[in-house]
Amino acid sequence: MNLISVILLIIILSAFVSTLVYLVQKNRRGPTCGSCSCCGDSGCPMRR
Amino acid sequence: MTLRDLKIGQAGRITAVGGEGALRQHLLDMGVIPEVEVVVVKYAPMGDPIQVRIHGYELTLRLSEAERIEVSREPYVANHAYAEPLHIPHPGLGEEHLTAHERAQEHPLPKGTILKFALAGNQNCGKTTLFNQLTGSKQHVGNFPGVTVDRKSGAIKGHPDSEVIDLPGIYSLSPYTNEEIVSRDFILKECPHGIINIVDSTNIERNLYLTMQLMELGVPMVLALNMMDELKGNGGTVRINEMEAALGIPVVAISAAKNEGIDELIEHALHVAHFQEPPQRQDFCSPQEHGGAVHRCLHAVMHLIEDHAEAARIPLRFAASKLIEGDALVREALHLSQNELETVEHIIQQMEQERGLDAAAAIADMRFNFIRNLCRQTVVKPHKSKEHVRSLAIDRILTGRWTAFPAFLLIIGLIFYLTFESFGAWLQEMLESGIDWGVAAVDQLLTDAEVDAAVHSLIIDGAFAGCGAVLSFIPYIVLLFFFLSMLEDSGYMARIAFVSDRLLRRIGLSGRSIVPMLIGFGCTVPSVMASRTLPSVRDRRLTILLSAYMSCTAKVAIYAFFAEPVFGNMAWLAMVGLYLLGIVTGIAVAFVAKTLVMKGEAVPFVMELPNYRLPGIKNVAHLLWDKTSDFLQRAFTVIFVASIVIWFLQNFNFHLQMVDPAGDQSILAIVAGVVAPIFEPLGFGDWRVATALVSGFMAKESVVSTIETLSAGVPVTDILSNAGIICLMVFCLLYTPCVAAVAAIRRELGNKYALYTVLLQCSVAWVVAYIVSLFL
Repeated sequence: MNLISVILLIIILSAFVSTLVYLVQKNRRGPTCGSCSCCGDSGCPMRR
Repeated sequence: MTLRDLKIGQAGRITAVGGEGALRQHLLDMGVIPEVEVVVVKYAPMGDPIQVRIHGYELTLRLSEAERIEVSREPYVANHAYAEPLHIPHPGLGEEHLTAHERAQEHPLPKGTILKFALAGNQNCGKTTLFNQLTGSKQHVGNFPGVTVDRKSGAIKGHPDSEVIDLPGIYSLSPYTNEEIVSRDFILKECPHGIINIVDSTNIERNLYLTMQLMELGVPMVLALNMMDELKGNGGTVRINEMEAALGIPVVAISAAKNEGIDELIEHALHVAHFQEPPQRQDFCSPQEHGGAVHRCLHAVMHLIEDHAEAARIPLRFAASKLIEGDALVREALHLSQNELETVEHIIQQMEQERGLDAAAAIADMRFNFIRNLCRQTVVKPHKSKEHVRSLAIDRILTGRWTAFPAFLLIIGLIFYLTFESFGAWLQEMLESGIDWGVAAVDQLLTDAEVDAAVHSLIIDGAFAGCGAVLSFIPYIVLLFFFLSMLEDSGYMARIAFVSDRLLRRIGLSGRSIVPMLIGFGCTVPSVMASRTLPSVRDRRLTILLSAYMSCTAKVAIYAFFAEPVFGNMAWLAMVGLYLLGIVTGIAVAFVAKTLVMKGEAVPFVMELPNYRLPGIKNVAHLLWDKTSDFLQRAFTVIFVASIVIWFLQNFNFHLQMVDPAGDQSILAIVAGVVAPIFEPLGFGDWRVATALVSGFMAKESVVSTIETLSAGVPVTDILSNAGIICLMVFCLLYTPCVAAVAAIRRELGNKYALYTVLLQCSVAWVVAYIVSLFL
């Protein structure tokens, strides 16, 4: 596997992991909520 | 004689409003009160509901409700004198801020405080347009806690230390709908520093009813008289200084659509909020009116509950008037002793006896009397509204007896044709060829760079194939949302509700349910949320159940992908057929649910018919951007993740060795092989299709991307027969909504109901697809 392949693999994997983390967080605060600072829900982990 | 007995064009004076509970209160709040003139305008095409004109606006209600409103054909004779018009000199240079600001009551907030404003107003008064003007593009969308009512907020342009929260459009602070409860809870519990109350100046009497209730809350407030350009264009006007003096709050004439008066409004709003200037007037009852019965009652109750209101942190005047109206939520919050409750009852009984009206009607009448006096003093009414005349002319066709349904079918047909065939299809093809070109270019680059075959495949067959396949359907989605927002903003959606009420009642729903159902054609999530406008839980459940069968735009990607190879040029007609099948199935399911599970009557139909207006370009652009960015976000998150996971499962076996993606050795092929037999009788028992259907639960668009990834270039017609493809489309049309929609249903109706929905829809989809397969 050449260097470009390794770099591309790292980019794709980090994009995958960060998107997954984002989705898990978004799901925790409710899929209909579009912003982490305005929901006001007491159960929301992103509550300001 | 009741309102039902009046013929078209006949006028009557309301003498009594019958009925009980929240509906009656809602009628009173909408201005249906004794001694007001009402004119019958027309009947809906199926003979029910009825359209009447009251306080200069158009209201629709069912014949069963009209039967409870007693009218007399005798003209109204006022038994008390109206106030004469006020004349207040215009402020001199530099005195603009002095008129409605009371320095003695100022309590300035510390510098740097983020000023929070509630933007409140009736429906159809231009609130969204004003919100967009105030905040520009920097908006956040979320929910009010505990309920799925949209909460939009944003900082005022040029004032980062401010926040405007767009409250739902409401007619009063009575607890008739969720939105009204949310609005008043927000003001009472979250204590905004100020309220910006927007009022449609062309329909000022009905709109000021909410203003008076907001003023009772004692929160610093500014009144924005919107559509002043329209009022002046018709020869009317509002004497701003006189209205300010009479109400004791700053009043600003604006035209939100033309961005006129917004700067002045912001200036006043920031001032009253920063200096915490409450309305100078909260007492609207008169000791002279009808012997002062309501006045004495209100003040007696206020004295009695003063300590309770303070303890419950409810503004005293508001608590007293709501207690007299019979508001159960306020009554509960006040924690009155039995003795006090009985005393309140006695005071109310005495007032009812003296006034000759029940408590709720007396309070509504007191408010409308104040408004009538205020309007006589400060408003120059136009002789005729051009917009109203134009609306009546358009309605002769769009809600006409013989033309309403053909016009509806024509409009919906045109929307579908433009979206899926002519303009939309052209845009889609353009975008698709652009994406294909981009993917081919990247493919070539990777080949030239001698990138490892696995990484190459991961990028091209995994990420690009999945996201690219879905992105090309953006034109369909944007166009459908564009047309739906045009229908809603123009005022036609309310007409559809009026026309279809009687039809929907046959499946146990009211015409109001048509709005969430039509939004369902865009996306199920907002459709589920839109059902909150329905005041009964039964109607909300039934509407949500039905909305889930309205094919959302995300499914367009599926239909377009599968219909093209089977139907060729007639693909758009097949898509229309699928939409119709969804509607028919939904109606059948709702009918069964109504007969077996959700028995009962639909909620009453009391709705305003706004004048037709051309939707603002900015508003539509905002909405389209919201939807497009939401779709892009989904494409680059859910679908990206799903595509990578599916690529991995498709390219590796359980020993984590790479295998042929089109073979049956991969993890995906083995797992999906277990599920696939369920679909065998339907003609699509292929493991690749089973996988695509499972991934469709994450997002419907994923069905296409998964098939694209799994088929590895093999045409879909080689995988399935034409009959199998048709059955698959039918199954996709009807099976479980995506995870976001299920989550919205769960928030709205609870876990159990969300689970029922998923199970029911999957079962119905299987049965209907099987029936279709028998005919093919």
